[in-house]
Amino acid sequence: MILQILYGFLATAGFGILFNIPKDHILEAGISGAIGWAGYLFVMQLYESPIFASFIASVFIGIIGEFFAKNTKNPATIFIIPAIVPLVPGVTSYKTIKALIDGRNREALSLGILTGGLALAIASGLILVISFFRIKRQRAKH
Amino acid sequence: MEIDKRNYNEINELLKIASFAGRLILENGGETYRSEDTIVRMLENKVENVETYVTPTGIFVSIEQDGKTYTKISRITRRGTDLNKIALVNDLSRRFSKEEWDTLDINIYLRELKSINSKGKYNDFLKILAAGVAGASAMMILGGSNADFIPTFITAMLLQVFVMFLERIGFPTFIVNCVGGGFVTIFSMLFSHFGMGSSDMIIIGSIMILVPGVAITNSLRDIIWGDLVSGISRGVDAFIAAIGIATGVGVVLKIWNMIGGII
Repeated sequence: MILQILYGFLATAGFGILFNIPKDHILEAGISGAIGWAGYLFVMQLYESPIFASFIASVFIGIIGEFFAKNTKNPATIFIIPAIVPLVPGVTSYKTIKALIDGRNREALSLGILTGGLALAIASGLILVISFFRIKRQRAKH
Repeated sequence: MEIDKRNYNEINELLKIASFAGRLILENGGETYRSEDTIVRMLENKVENVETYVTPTGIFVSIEQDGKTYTKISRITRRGTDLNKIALVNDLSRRFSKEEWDTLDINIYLRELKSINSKGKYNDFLKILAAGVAGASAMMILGGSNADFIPTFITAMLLQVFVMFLERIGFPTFIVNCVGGGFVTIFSMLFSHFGMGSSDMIIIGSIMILVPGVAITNSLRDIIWGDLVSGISRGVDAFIAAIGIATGVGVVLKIWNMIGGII
């Protein structure tokens, strides 16, 4: 479990470098990835529902990203994008392709739907957090 | 009677710098609303009214001042990911928005934006290493075993070298994704053929380097924000990239299966 969270950290930090985030914020980005992944694992242990787990993970990533954004006065995107990438449904989309190649169309369809569901869960989790923070910011402006 | 009648040249300069800043945000993986916010933030305290309309392929900015409307259109053709530039432009736009027009020296900011635009990325060695770490770690959290770690690490690093090489030559993204997917699949098959790791996990991990994560997230964010045109076009962008990867992986898998059948 701890090892898994460490991998979450490393993956995010690695993508952070690939996406060229500022040098002094790689640590923060890695932490948001680790927390997001910890949330994913936690939900998976309770419910075994990857879609709900992805949703919770992206909510966590959004919150921690906005928190770091406020603390370091940077756009939240810097912390959110590298942390989100490891959540992207790579396994299911790969399996979808493989099923399509082998002619298992029925399986490909249901895997495709799962892939879409995962992507939507990630997006809606993020939107929820970002819109909430945006309301707060607009209130502060007026 | 009016001292602050702005002349055409000054407004022209404002349009130029604001749309340049918006362009930098958009070209480097920023969301549509961030680009629009940046442009409006930079101009709103300087002119009577500013409107902007941003899509992934073009930026329109128009300023209303003294009864006239001035407009600038910028065409966007490049779409990359460089979050450092977004942070820098964001910071610049905040400072710019606090400036008063009468005391503003626009050239300082223009020069700063140009230097942001030409800022480099991390060095190649570090990027290759990061690709290895990112690919292998992503594979581990997606359900890989320890035996897959080293082969994925190596494949992801080789993929990054290959992608950087293709990008430097100037191949279009679709071809890079397609050939990259095939490249990964060949290596994963070789590794698993010689008993090092499972080919599925190696492919899944290494491909994370190519996955259009930024386009996917930004597309859905744009749609939910109400930037429907941008959201859909970004979605298409991500979809095409995914098809490219899938084509590369699929073709090689199929060929490998056919050869495997013969041997």
